Amino acid sequence: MIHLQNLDFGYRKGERLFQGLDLNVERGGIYGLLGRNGAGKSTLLKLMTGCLKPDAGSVELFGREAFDRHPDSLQRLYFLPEQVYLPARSWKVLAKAYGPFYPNFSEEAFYNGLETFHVPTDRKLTKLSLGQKKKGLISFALACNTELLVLDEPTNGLDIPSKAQFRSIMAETATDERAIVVSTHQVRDLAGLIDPIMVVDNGTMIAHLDLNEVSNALSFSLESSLTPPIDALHHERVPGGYYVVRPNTTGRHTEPDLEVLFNAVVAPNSRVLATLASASQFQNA
Amino acid sequence: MQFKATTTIYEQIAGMIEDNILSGELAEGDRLQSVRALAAEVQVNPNTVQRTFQSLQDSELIINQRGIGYFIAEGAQKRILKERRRLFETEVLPEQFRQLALLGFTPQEIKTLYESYLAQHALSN
Amino acid sequence: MQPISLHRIGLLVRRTFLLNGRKWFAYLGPLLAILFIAWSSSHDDNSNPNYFNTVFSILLIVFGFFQASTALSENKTADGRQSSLTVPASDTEKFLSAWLYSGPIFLVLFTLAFFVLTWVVTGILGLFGIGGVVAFDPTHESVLSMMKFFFLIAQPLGLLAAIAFDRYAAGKMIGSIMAIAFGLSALAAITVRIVYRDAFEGFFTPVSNINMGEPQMAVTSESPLILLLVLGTALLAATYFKFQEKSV
Repeated sequence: MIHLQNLDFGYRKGERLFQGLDLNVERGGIYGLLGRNGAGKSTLLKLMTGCLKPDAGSVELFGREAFDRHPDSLQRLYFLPEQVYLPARSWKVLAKAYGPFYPNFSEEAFYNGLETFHVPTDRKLTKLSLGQKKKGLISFALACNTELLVLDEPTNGLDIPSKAQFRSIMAETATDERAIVVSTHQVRDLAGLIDPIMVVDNGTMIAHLDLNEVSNALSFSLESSLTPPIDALHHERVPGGYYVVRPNTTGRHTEPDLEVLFNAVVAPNSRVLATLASASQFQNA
Repeated sequence: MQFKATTTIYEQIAGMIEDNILSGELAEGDRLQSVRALAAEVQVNPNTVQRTFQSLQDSELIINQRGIGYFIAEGAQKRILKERRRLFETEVLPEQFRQLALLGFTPQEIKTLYESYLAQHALSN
Repeated sequence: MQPISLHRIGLLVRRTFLLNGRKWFAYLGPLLAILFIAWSSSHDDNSNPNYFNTVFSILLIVFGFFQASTALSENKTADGRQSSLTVPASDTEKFLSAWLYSGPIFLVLFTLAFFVLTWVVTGILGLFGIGGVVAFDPTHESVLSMMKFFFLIAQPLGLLAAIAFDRYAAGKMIGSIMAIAFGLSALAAITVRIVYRDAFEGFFTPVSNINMGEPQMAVTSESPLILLLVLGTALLAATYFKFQEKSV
């Protein structure tokens, strides 16, 4: 669906945000895009959807150059940016104005979504709170029934019950025919949902993690010891002991904590990353 | 739903379904929720629920009827009970016995305690 | 080559109507007020059959320029631009829809509204014994030539203002035109004084006092239209390229 190849990008001359970045998005996944603040998650999403022009390399979107923003490509995706823009009209008007651009748009699904999220339908959109605006646009995005859904920090501004509703709706929406790309720095908001995980750091994709493969290669456990387990691949202090990452020697699967996994992967000279790399080589051999 | 840090989500969901079969809430021949509906309910990736169903199918607790859905297999409750007993005997009891021995409980004392627990339990039922 | 689909242009125009259409009602009030004042204060003048045609021509240019300068309004903020970028239509289609909306569609609706309002105003004033014959003729030669001027200059200038300036676009565009006009006339004045320096007694002598000999007709009566056509096309082209550039 989306293929980024050897991509270079910087907002200013001489400044490189990305260098030689490769990335592929295929149908059937809820891709979690993770990175530190300023790593360029939003920029990467804009590049994928053709809103920015790469300095070098290529961005292919539905088989076309993304930056051409061909209408046939645009009508197959919905991009929800982090900063939302809404006209001073109601959701009804918005649905009438933008819905027909998307061949599979369902007005009914849109209003159902608004109802699920308890978003008022007849108020002026500029008078709504950030959370209500986001929830309304998430409902609209889903109602467009596009093959590709790109969401930049969708859980920002959502209250606690809405986050659960969001996860539930995402789970219901994901199908084999569709790809969803979600960026977040609140990784716990999306735990259990996102798979695979893409980690962007230092201007490049440092890891593309299929969580099943992660569980194959690594084991995650809580160890109640007083001294740090320095022999482990990675460890973090938690109340009551250490959260420890070790190579999986038993073949038994454990559930990775995504925050710990992220920290382990972006650590300098990450041993976790090295273990994962050799495991995937072993698998490919 | 709050997941424990170590067991995988798909195993936890499998455990939840097994619990429901054991308690009789899901009877043999009953149809399970669809992958999508269950994924939405527990707020996880549908692929994870798919993996749960696959593992339950591999252990012959549920059967897939193409195009219709997943059904609880005949004898599922019995098999779960047998497997859970085996796991309890091999993985839980040894640790409990170690503690009992360490604290100096005699088999007779344990027998009395267990019988009185059962009597109380039967009364409260 | 960017794709152009009439269906999508239609959807874009429809979208603009739904989101911004109400703004046009804001023009009705001032329009009605102007007509009342103009007609009642000069009803002695109503023997002039061209009266309403002249009022229409002036208002068409003023309103036409102003409303064109409010087109493409979502492109004025980064968030709005982001939203407009991913609307499934090509940049060319988006530009054409803005031109259609602020040009032909505006012209038709404005003419219709003016036509109806002139009847309303003369009717109401007629009840009080004021006024005379209504004579607004949209097909009159002077009106048609003003429509030409609207398409070739007023609308393109308005659109260019809309894309070049983020806030107070109309005011800034008028300011820029005045600055350019002032600059050009200053340049002309200096050039004239340099080229015809023999005819001037001093650098600050007014041109009217100067005899430069018999002036030669450099332009024919046909040239203004061609000039306007070239200028209008250039303005629209500049707007289009500025629009594409802004899409990044």
